[in-house]
Amino acid sequence: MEKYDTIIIGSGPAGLTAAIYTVRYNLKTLVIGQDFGLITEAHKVENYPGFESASGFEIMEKINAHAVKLGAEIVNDTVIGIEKKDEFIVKTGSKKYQAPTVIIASGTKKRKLNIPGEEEFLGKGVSYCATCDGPFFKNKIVGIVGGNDSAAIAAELIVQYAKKVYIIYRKEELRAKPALVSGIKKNKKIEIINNTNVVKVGGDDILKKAIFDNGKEMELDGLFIEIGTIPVTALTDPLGVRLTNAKFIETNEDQSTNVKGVFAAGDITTNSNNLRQMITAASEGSIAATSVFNYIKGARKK
Amino acid sequence: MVATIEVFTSPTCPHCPSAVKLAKELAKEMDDVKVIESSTATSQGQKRAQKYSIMTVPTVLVSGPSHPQKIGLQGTPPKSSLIKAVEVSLGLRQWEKEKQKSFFSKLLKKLNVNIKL
Repeated sequence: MEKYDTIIIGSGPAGLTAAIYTVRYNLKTLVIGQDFGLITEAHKVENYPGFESASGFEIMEKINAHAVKLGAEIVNDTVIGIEKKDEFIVKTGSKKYQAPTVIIASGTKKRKLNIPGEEEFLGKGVSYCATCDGPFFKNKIVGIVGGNDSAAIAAELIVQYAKKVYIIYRKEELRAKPALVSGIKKNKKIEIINNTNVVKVGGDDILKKAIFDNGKEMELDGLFIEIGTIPVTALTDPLGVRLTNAKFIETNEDQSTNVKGVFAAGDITTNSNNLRQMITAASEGSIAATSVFNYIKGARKK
Repeated sequence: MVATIEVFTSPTCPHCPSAVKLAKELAKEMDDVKVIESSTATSQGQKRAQKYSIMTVPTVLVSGPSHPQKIGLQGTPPKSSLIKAVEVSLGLRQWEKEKQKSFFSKLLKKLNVNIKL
């Protein structure tokens, strides 16, 4: 089994920044992740210093190249379990790796509606990624569930393809930033349906309709679900890492957790005032890396 | 005796490059694996996506002499699942047996794996 000083789980902004720092601390570093995380779904990032306007993917490619150039080892795989023995054993489907420390930077994933038909029509009209699947809906009728920034941005994006976009929101007023909302209200192809929940979706081979809580039905070719994210913490549960009620990892100021040797960074934590931006993820990654360095240095002295 | 991994992509899809990278990495590691990228931005790719009712990218289809029916994986699959799909296609594993295993059956459910043709 290959041994490392630290294994970073997740290759988004937090994980890869942590790797840049651990490598520069001369720690043998392994990053395991499948892609660059949810940030890549942002087709436009305009608040990351040094990048006036770029896609999340473009920025991540640069951070990735930076980490690789410095010597971080990055494995394109999925972690299926972490075991605590004398050290941590991190398992993927095909391999096991060992390290005295881990940095959990597995981020968040899209929240589901959990309604009948959602799973069945996933990839058959139901989608969680507007940047990925928007182009499939040329001249189609599309619904977007949600009222936050991502829902508004998804509407802006999909309306370039679709002939009609409905934003279906459970409350009275969209809570997206005013600039986004005013853009949406000006667009005649977008209609907002307030105070409404989708309770079921149906169709045959592909999605055909959504059913609302007021009993009404709407014919739709696509339904994009943009109702926020939830942390990916299944891996840390067996380790006894303390979570909040909303399942985020309770993290100290130095990004350590209640379990010795386990650190966390990025959207999965409670730090950075819950801002959950690319820059705070990178910042937490750098702090986690420094804490890992101090932890290992301390352990070696003993 | 070649297994084909076909990755459906679109130019705007941020998860597609990692799916293509994974497939190419596997083709390097395993013998008898060929990778095709079908971009839905091309008319050829669109036709193929329509043929299999694909409405999300990345979608990965795996087929081979022992399992000509396509095994479909939505999203970027875990590497181990892609290896299993390739091994089934090459006759190195039995699909029916794989379906019984809890990990794989969970995955089947989650990823709507076996696309019917």
